[in-house]
Amino acid sequence: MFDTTPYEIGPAFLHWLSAIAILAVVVMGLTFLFSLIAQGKKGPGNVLKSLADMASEWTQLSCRRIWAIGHLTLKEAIRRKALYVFAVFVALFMFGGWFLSDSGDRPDLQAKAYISFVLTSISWLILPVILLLSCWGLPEDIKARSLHTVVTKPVRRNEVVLGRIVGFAAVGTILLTAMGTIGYVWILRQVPAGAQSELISRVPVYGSLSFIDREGRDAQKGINVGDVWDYRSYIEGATKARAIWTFKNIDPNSLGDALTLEARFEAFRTHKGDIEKSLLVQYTFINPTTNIQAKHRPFVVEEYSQNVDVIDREFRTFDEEKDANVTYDLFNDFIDNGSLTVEVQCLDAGQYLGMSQADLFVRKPNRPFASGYFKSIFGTWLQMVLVVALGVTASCFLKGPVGSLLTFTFLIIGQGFREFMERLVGGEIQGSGTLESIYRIIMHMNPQTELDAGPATSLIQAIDLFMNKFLLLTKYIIPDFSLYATGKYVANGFDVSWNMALLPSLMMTLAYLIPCILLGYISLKIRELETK
Amino acid sequence: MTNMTSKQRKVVYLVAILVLLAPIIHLGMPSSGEAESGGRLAQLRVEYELGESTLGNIDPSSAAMNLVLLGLRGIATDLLWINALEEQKTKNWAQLRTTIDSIIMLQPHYMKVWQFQGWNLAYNVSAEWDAVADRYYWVKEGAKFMDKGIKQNEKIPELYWESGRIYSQKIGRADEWRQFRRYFLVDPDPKYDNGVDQAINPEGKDNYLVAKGVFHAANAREDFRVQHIMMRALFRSYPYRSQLEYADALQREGIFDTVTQLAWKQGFDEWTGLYGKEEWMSPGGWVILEAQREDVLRLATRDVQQYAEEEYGLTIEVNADGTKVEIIDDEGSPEIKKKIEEELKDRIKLKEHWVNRYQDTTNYRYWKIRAQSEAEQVTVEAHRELFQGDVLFKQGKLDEAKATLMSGMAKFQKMLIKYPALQIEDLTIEEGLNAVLLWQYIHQLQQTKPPANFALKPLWDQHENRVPSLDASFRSRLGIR
Repeated sequence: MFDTTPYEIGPAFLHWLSAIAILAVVVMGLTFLFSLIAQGKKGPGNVLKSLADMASEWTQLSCRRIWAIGHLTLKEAIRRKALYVFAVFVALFMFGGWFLSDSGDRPDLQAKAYISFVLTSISWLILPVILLLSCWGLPEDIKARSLHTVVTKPVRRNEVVLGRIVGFAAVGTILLTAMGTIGYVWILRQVPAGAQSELISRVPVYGSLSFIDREGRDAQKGINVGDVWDYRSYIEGATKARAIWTFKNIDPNSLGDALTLEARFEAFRTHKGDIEKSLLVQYTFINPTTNIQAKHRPFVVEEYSQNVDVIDREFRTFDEEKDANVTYDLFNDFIDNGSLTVEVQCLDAGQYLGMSQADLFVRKPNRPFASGYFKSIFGTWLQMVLVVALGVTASCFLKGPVGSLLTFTFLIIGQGFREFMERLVGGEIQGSGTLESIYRIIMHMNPQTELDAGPATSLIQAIDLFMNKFLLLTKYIIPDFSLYATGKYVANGFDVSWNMALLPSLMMTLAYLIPCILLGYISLKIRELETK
Repeated sequence: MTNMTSKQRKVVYLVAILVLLAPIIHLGMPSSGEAESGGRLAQLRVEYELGESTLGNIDPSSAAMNLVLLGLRGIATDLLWINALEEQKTKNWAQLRTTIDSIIMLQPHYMKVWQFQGWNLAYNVSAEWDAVADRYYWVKEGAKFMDKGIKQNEKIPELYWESGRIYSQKIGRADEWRQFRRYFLVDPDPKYDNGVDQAINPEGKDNYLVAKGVFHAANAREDFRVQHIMMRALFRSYPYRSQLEYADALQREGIFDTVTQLAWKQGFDEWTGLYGKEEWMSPGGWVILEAQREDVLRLATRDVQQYAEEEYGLTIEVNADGTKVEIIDDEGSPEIKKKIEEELKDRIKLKEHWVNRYQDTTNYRYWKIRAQSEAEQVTVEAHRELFQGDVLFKQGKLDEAKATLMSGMAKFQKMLIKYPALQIEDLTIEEGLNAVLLWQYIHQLQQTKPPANFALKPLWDQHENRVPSLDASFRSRLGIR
């Protein structure tokens, strides 16, 4: 269920840069236009002067002053009893066991329930507290006129914004460090002895997947057996159907003396067969350059659990062509320029084996549980920093309640409704236009019924199209918070991948942090502080 | 109001608070635990048995959770249901189990949650797994979940019935019934050390006997609270059916000793003596399933006595064969007497009709005859020999298998002659025809011609149209192409 596509930083950075450039051009264009209207010919000149002032302010940033404001923010947050969230945290963990006690007897399922609980609780407790703090900080300062005192000091407004972000991030860091550490100890102590072995961080190397159909032809996908969840596709047993994984960049030195393959295949039966025996699966190692093929011994699939196969570097197998046993050096004979090809087949006639790209991977030596766990906490930290940045920016031009609402909306939509929004924008949901759906509700029409052709329908559709485009724009503005959900890796016993999880999270935070700081600074700069 | 001083306003507020407090106290004051104590709502709660403690065990974590959520329980529950459906779709079983636990924390007394999710775990989630042991694990999860629901909702008969259904139908009739029944006594999970899972089978009994106990508990609750699953006569048949299913399962497993015979006998006694004597309110008045002529007459007389009392204020007596009516202490007019006699005749006819309908609906006669016949030595021998013939065939002992089948078929025919009602019963027909198919196949293997006349020829001829489909499944079972 993981996205195993590696993050490509180059194209992502270019995309970001172009978005920022377009935004800057549009904003500047509008600013010049408005200044021309408001101030006549002097307007653009004034704008340029202001820009030059702003630019010079950024060259005179003082870390000492930023830290001073940050420190002040930290003290203020503590004074506002932000750390009381600990009481909730402790209460939650004291009674957490009640809610998890029946989570199943299987060790892997139990460990998963405990880890998910800890990581979700931390995230759910930290984010709202930090969101409220960051959204209410500046408006409260303005209301209490304490900011007036600050801005009369030699502190620049960009330093105020940065100081606030640093300060709230520091509060969050303190909370997160403490909660993360307590959570870690709690997991180690609470997970039953039988499930302690599940507390590991496996390091997978994913490959690319292709298929061969039952006739032996190349296929993009396997067979759809009618499962509503089309995550896996299936190959038919005892036919020419195969699933072929190609693993790139395999360094034999990092594997030790054996190749460890782990699989999570799913069985689908078209007839009962021998119900006491699960389906048989066989790996075949292939070297496309030398054309050597070697079948490994078949194994019985255990569904929804780790089918781990440790294959010695020197392995012996029966070669049907030579009609004799042959010994191969797995690394020398089959890893071809760092690339390993593994073919998977199901041996039971009339039965099907389901798989997706992430279902077979090469395992590197395990890392300690702490590795994955604290990386996931780091992911939450990155999310928290982004929330702080959004909150502080909102507080620069909005009052506390409105700013909180805005940031909260970003968080909720970005985290829970992004997929839904994408389906709306992509037109995947029938009859989902705003006016159209209202009309359908009033008229008791289901989404499949065609609307009567006419000017009213055309008007509705035109307005909905406009709103859909607005939604499309919103989609690009609201950050994808689901990227930060790294808990699923840890809960399933995996290390959090840098390339697939942490790097995209880091880039996402940075991508929003920079424009947020600029926007916050400009808002505070042009804001009339006397307006409470 | 605007002319009031701050002090005056405060006094007004205070008076308003006190005035409003009176109905609140009257309505909402909590009960001290003594009868008639507390406000009106507390009294009503006791009267209608709606208090938490009157429904079953209280789960403190559930109460805490509901309290913490304040009024957001509905929204939280909706979100959890959406999550549960998504987790089931994406086969995230660990998370699904946890989500279900969270849902029941929020809705501990909502029967449908227990009913649906218990069934979902035992039937749907278990079917998603390929290994039989894994499937059994989820069947157990469903049973445990339902038992937990029963503990928190002791008065709901439906939950007992659902639990009994898992123990009987799911474990005893699934495709994997042989394995499930074995696992019920010897759990495949190594942590039970080849013993039973105490959580579902503390006494190490057969699954049908456990189900029987649970169904009896369902009936006991049903005495006080109406169930909404099925017709009452069907609902209450389940404990007795479980006893019969138990005996049947022993036979299916090839056990033909006195234990099986006694199980059938007990099944017959309970079916006819207990279940058969229960009274049901039908559209034709009260009926019983084990109704002889005198039972129908007794029930019809009771109805007509009530009719005469209500319509004419008369006390009547009916003669032994139900043809004459005597009016006690009053002559009454001959017309009235005739009317009452007509009514009696109609009632008898109506009752006979409804007894018959109820017997059809509950399959009463079939189980009665089956249990009666199975308790007899000849039937036991017939089943044993047909089963043994199959075993011998699989061992390759064709001659012995053929002889055993011949003997078994002869006894089977004797049974059919004695109990002709079984000749139209599916399971009996299948057993008999399968024996003939196997016997014929052995002849085919030995390249001999089977005799034209054989013991089960009448059954074979009577149900010839069913032979092709049975032959196909027979060949599939034995892997014959």
